[in-house]
Amino acid sequence: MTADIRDADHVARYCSPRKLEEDRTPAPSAFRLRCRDNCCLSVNWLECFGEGSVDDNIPHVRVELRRHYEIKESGRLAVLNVGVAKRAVKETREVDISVRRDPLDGHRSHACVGGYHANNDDVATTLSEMVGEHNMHPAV
Amino acid sequence: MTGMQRSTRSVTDERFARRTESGADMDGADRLWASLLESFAPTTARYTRRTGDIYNTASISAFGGVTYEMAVRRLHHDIEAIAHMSDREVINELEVNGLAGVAKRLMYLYDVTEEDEEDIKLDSLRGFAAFMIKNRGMYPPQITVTDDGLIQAVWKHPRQGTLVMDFQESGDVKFTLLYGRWDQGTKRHKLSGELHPDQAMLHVGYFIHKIMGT
Repeated sequence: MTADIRDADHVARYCSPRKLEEDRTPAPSAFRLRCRDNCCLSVNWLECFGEGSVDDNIPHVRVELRRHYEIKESGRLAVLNVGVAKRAVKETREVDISVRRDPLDGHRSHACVGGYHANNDDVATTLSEMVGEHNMHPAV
Repeated sequence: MTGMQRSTRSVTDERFARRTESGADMDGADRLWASLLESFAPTTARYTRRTGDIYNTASISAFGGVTYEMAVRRLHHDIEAIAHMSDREVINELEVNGLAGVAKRLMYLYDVTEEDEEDIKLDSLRGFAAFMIKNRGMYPPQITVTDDGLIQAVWKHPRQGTLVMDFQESGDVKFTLLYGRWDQGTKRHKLSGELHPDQAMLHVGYFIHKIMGT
């Protein structure tokens, strides 16, 4: 079942170590949409696990991610507020991005950020700029 | 060495500087080359144009011009050699050229590449290394790797914007420069393209050299 995620909610993007800058925040490559991904940047919807805080829900995301991917200890999760991300991209680059639920088998928090072209560096760069150290969490 | 000091280029590498400051490590061919250059001063401008860089050659003295040309010629030799090197050799070359921090970062990126990730593309690494050696005095970028295995260099300024350069296997760079901040609530101007690194620097060099230093 796909549905838009509320603006007040949050999504987390797993950033592999080689997509992290030296200050451990994500590079634009961490948010670049690829042609082979069917126009879906995979993220995890945090409020899927309840209305708790980001810190409360991050451990659930880690468990789900470990079930499906090889997660590196030095990888990190970048957390974005959905509404802020959509507004920033809309205002600065005049692009409407979408953030929708896209649950997969055994991966119910899976969601997609889409609405922008594959290899669109404007959107990827803007999203990477929005994530500060305080938005980053260990992936393991 | 007065010629180098008057040049607009800042040279930080000791090995590079040593070569230009004395004839101590000159071989026979270098001496011959130097004498030819002394005889034909106008070649200074020709060689400088060929590098694609912007230098104030008019302020370089006759002796400075000769040694400067020696350095440029060596630099070109190093860069041409990189095109035939393995990844390990490229990283060593960066270290030899005084870019140990960049070499260390690249080693780290090789180490953390996951099984399901694309290997780092050798031609992208070569292009990036050549760019770094040629522009070694510049503000250093953040270095990461894209999903396609291309080296990505990023310069983020807290107020003025972000420049992203992806080093393509073809030898070109794909660049995007977004001016301003994401949270200013106004449209951000953008400059993007895919060019040879020297040509790209003509468009974005100001951001790297001037704005990043502020």
